[in-house]
Amino acid sequence: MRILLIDDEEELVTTIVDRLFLRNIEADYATTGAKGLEMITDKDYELVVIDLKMAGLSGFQTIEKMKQKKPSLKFIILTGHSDEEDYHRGLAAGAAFYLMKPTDIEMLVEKINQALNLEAETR
Amino acid sequence: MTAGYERARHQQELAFFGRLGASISHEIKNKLAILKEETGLINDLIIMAGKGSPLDISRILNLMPRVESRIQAIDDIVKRLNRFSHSVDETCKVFDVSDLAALVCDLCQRLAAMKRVKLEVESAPEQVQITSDPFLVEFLLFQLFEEAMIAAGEGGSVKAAVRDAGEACEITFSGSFSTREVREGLKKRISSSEDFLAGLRAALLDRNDPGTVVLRLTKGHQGV
Repeated sequence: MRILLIDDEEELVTTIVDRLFLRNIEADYATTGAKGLEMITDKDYELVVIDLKMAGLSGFQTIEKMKQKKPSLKFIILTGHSDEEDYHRGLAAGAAFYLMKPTDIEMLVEKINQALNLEAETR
Repeated sequence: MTAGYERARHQQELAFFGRLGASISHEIKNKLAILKEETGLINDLIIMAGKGSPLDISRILNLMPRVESRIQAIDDIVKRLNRFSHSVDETCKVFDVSDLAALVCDLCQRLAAMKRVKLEVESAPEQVQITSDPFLVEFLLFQLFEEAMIAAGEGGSVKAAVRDAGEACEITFSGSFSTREVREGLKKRISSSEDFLAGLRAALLDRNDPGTVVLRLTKGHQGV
């Protein structure tokens, strides 16, 4: 699995990466949308777990730019914003799931697996 | 001031209260999310040890201070929220302007981080006490901070320096922004801004210094 987590809260994203690793899921991380964009150019990721409210490029802007570069990328939105408009916008932007922070790690693992299985089914 | 202006300004004050409330709750939520993951990681390591993996004590010892600092950070945010919420308790009160400006600056830090603007307050060497409506002064300072942040743009900086000016207290906002832009922006942000400033016995001074906005607050009793 090639997974990239993008969140400007570095301590959050690194701890999630550690917890996923303990569950046999290897993930990389970026703390800005711009860095994430660079990383998907260098490595073939399948799934991006991304926050929405970030300094610089927002989550939505990052998703849009990433989809232009890699249309097959899957997205899970992981945000602290319980905004209905953002939820619909997220799903319309092609996110497989819209999760709220703080989330349960097992739920995140389940959604990662489901999102990647969705991808496998559509191939 | 007409009833229409009063209504509009009341809405602007409520919007300010709501905006800061939303920003602070978001900040708390972010810290709680980190705390949940850090305690979750400690739990994961203990469960793994229960299943026979060697317990990584050093990793747990590294995580514990992070958990403690997170709890402290949440406590600090809640204290600021509490102080801010209580600022509507009295419409006329004696307070230190440096202290109030520092509180508004702290409350704006998340917004500043989102805009990638450096925001700071330089307190006066001694207390500068004024008698005024603390909530309205916070409202005014917030509008100035935010307008200056927008005008400064990404990578910019805004500093508010507080000083005792005898009969008044002066707060000098300086940074990478255009003075005219901030002053014009403030007029759009506060309905009938001149009446509002006059009611608060406050004024924006003309210093012909680009990148500087000076707010003067008279020390005596005020009420809008």
